Amino acid sequence: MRRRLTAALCVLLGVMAVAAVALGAAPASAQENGPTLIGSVLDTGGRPVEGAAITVTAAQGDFSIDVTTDAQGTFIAAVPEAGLYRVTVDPATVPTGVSVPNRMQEKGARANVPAGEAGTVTLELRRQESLRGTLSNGNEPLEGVEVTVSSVDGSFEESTTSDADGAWEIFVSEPGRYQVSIDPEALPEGVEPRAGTSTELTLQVFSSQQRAVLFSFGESDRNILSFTDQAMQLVVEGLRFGLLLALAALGLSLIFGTTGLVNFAHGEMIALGAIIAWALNTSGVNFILATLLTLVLTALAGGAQELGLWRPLRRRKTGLVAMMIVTIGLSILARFLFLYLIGAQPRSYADYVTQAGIQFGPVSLAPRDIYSMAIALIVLIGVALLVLFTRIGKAMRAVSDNPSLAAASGIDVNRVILFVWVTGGSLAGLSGVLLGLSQQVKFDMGFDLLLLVFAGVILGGLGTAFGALAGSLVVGLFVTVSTLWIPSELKNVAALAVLILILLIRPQGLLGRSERVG
Amino acid sequence: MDWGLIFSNTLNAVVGWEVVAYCLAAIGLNIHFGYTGLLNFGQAGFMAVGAYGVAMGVSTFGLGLGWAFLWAIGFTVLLALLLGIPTLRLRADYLAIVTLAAAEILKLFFRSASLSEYTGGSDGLQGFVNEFRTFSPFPKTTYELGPLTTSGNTLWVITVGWAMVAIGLLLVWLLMRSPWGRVLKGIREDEEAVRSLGKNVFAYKMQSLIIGGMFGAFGGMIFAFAQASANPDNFSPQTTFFAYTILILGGAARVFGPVAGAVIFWASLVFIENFLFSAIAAGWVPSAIMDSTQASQVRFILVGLVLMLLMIFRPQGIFGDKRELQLDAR
Repeated sequence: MRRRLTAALCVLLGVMAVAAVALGAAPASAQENGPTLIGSVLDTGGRPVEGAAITVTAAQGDFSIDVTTDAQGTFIAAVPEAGLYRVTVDPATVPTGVSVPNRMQEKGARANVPAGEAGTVTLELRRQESLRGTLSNGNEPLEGVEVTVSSVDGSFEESTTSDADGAWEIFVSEPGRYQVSIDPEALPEGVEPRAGTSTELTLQVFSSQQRAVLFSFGESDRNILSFTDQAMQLVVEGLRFGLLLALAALGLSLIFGTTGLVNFAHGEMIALGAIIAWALNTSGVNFILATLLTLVLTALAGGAQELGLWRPLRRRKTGLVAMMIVTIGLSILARFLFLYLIGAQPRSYADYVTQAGIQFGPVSLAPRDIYSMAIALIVLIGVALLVLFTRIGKAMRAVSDNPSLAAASGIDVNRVILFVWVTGGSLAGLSGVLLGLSQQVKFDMGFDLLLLVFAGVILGGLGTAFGALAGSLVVGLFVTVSTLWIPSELKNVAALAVLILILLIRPQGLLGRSERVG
Repeated sequence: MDWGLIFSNTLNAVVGWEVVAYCLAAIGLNIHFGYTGLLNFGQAGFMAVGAYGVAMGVSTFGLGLGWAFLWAIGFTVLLALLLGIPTLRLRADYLAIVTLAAAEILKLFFRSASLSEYTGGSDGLQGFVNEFRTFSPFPKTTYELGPLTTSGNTLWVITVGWAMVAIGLLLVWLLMRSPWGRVLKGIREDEEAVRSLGKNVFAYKMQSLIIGGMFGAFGGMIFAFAQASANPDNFSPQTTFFAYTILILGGAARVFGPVAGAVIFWASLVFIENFLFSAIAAGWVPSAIMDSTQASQVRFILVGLVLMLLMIFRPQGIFGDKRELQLDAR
């Protein structure tokens, strides 16, 4: 049994590595002219530090070389051999407002030069707290405008004038609250502060923060849509998002219905779909073909999970809570495997990236959005019909209702569950592929969505297929349309708060049967 | 291959503040999950409330450290009540989802730019440690003991942290051998049976959620004091899952499980990272397969794998007792 499980786990990992095969590894640039250390010196705000004197010393032996950083803050030091080096910065050579942290002054930074390629090191220097900004009227920078910064308690006051690019920066002595003001009288001819904005702001500067300050001038340049137009656009976008959520939610709900398992790794199935499609598409496969292949591969991944992991666990009579924690483990494993394979940066498909929007009255939609909504809708209707009218659908509903009774009446429960996993994997994969079109492909895109998928599923009623559909549509609409009133960074908060509220008022969900869920 | 460096880094990690912080969080989870069977996936939320309670109390609202501490504890209790009232009557999986969602809501709020005037936004909140450091008996120098190095400030945080851990362990030990603790274990084994004996299961679960949540908050405070900053990204769901891995590794429902788990977890994490770095530096691993960024990701792939394998083959962890832990949802 145990050996079998181990073997099964290996098979599962193998399938998850399918993506890896398609991806290939990033080519490492081998250094031709001897070992080199390339470094960059940045401040805490991420800006390059120019003209800093750098000393590179070998950790063992007495090699030492002096270099200076260029305008990009980078330096290149030729070193005698691969190995460990210590990099120090001369504090006297760094510009005003930037300082070398004590730790770095004492110990320097460690750098490693691997054999056969260039070593890299990044030194982060501490930047003194400052207030800064760029003054411009439309696209035209405002030069020579006096900006004054004073601390609220009056212990600090300093002024500066903006340079040719309109940029200004004032270093302050310590974190705290500061007042920033410009003199509206001293502005160039014809430049007015924008109506409704203040020329005096009070801001909090936190430790090692470079607080950006925005003053606006002239007419507002934002193209203001009317409230109804904006709302219409968001409703359509919300529907699209809701349909894509519904694809993933349907699988999650079917799996829960038939096995009772809450699959916290379902988000990674979404990401897997997007990543496989991205890998295939960017290596030259036509997007449509790549999507079809992705559906097959994610279906296989779902099936392999069931056969290799969940079925053996059920046979061992592992409890559902234990299995839920296993899904957490699987989710972490898969997420970091994706990170390992594709890196942290967001990726785009090769095809259909830039498309001009088509106007439908006030609503603008790219053709790819229309297609993905249509595909999602067709697939969802298809699955709904399958659940309602086919033999396997009837069997699925029977297993959801009562697995033992279903088994007793001659239904092969394991086969039904396998079918559900295959379908669920494929649906999540499709959801990922389509989401990758509108946002970008990222290793943790699935985990970010997972809670919204849960919200949809719970809103509709855990385990009910149609509930998942309706719930996801509501959540998608709600999340998107709520950005009319609340900042978009908080849009998920609203959906999650609704999730908690629903559990308070109607734990069985909108479409769930009223039964004791305790 | 510099084995000396690898081992000294590993040793330094074992006595570092991360072990203490995660240990406190895992002690809380042990009360929730190990003893009561509550599947709290929102421990990071309790940690965030602890960290931000103190940080905002001092930095934003200008309270003294003592008041800020009490205010943080107050909010922790409030969070436990808010989470518990709707969900403790529900099934385990609902509690898991809701706590995870609540922790995420808190993180989004603390990160939000629109509230950054109070919370510091995604940069985190600083400037609250001075009063804490004035109590430190350790002068501000670098301390060295063999391969171990630490600063006076960190040493103070670690000392306070281990004192909290000691109090926590004593409390857990005393509570769990009391009649109250036996009721908790009863709830874990069979809620209906306990209810049929006339015990108010809901009230017991709520008490467990509050006490465990407080230890989570203490863990969060250690995070904040050690880094001199309350940072929202420290309190992502991943933090909760690491605490779970630690708890299950050490052995749930064991008093010393979280301590053993935290030490072993961090030692392995740091050892693997340093070993891989050295292996890459020594050219043992071709850089086409793994570069040093990927090396630190391998650790987390392994965390996921270890969590799965533990749950499948050894749910009682290294030191646990299998009879103590017959996990099941319904």
